Amino acid sequence: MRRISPAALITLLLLSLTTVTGVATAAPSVAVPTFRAGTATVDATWHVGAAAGQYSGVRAPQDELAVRSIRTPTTSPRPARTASTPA
Amino acid sequence: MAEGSNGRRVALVKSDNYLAQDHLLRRVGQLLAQGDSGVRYADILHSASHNHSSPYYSTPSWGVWIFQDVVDLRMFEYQARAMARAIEEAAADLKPARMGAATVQHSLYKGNITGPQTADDGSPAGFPRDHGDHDLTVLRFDRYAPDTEAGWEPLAAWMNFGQHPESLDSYDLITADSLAPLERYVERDLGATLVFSQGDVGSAEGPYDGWNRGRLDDGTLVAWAHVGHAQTERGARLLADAVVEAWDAIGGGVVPSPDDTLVPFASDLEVGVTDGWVPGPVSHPVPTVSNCRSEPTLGGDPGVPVARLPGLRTGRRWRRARPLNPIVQNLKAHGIAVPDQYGAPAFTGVHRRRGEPAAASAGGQARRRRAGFVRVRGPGRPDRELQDAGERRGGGHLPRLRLDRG
Repeated sequence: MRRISPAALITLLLLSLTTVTGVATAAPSVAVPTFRAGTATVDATWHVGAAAGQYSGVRAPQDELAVRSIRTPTTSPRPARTASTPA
Repeated sequence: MAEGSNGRRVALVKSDNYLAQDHLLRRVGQLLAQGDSGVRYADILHSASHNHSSPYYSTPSWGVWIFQDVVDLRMFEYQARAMARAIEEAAADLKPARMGAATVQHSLYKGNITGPQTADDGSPAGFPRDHGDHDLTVLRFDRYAPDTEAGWEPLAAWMNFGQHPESLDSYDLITADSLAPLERYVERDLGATLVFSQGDVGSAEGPYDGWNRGRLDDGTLVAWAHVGHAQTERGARLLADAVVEAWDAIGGGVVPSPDDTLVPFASDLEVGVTDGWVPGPVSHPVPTVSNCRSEPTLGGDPGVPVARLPGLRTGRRWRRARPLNPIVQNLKAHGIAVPDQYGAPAFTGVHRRRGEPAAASAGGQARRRRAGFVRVRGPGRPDRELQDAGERRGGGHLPRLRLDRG
């Protein structure tokens, strides 16, 4: 098994550092901003027609009121009814 | 959602409602208190679209029920939860960013609905059709993207401009009116989310077909309001062009004209929020609806508030030239205070929030020179702050977001 000499190891390390430094120099010289921003779009359509309630393929807003967590998605499919599920 | 280097957060929220109102925001604040967004009731800068073709069952204000929708608490709660969820999702997705701002001038999709009038004594009154706030304000948010060539990527645009979204209300459809194509055009052009907020919407409508605004160079009739879906979209396209112009001005660091304002990009800035109640002005100490002018009433043509909602007398007789009413003039000459107008009290009838400076929104139907307008405080127009102070009239709730750069 060949052993790598200490001098070669240091050279490799220096080369690595040089490479890393080179990459850092090529990137935009902008400090990471301290200012932050985020966006979100939530569907707040109030169903007022045939898309509402029992005719809807998705959970209706009225049903949403029974959900405790405000993080619960509103567009999750309505659970399939089974024989044991009351209508 | 913006978070300053000082850790302070503010949520710029738009909803497609007839009016912005306080009860809804208070409920949103309650819901947010259960989460970890760090946003409180007072940190929300809410702008309603004032879309006349939107459902508005979420207001407990009886005055609005008369000409909009009667409250349905299910919608109230549903909408509050949706707004709270949007804030929480945005707060959970905050990214290092930079922000710049600009105003550009836009007059094509703007008109003064009051227009020229004739006063009781026959003198010219009202407003020119082109009187309004023609500043279109855009805040540009870019996400930090060090792996890209530019180093930044579009994240969001927040805009303020006053214009009535009521062009499609005669079709008896639920639509987003002109704001739907506006958002579609801008978001496709920029690749960023557009958040719209209203400006001097109370006086801004049109132009209508009968105003004779002429045609554009390509032959397009300059009439966007109440003339069909196609013209509404054409007007929205022109408004979208102005938004893109402002966006590009921020990116290029140059505004198109000396009347414009520019706040260059910054990525290390503090965010501050102030919130408070101010009383109404002396001239309008209580909120009223269906106002009547005193002079015709004292001259024998009484006006009864509400009974002839909303305009009361048509004023045709009083628009003819006639001498000043001697009763009113005598009373005033003897130092007896005679109010120029009177109306029906509207306590609890309408809830409004009004906004102002660097980024804010008009909760109700702000009118030119009656409510605060959105301004960008930049180095280019130091006179603007003084102008703003002069224009700030009227009472209401004043949520303020200062985006001053250190």
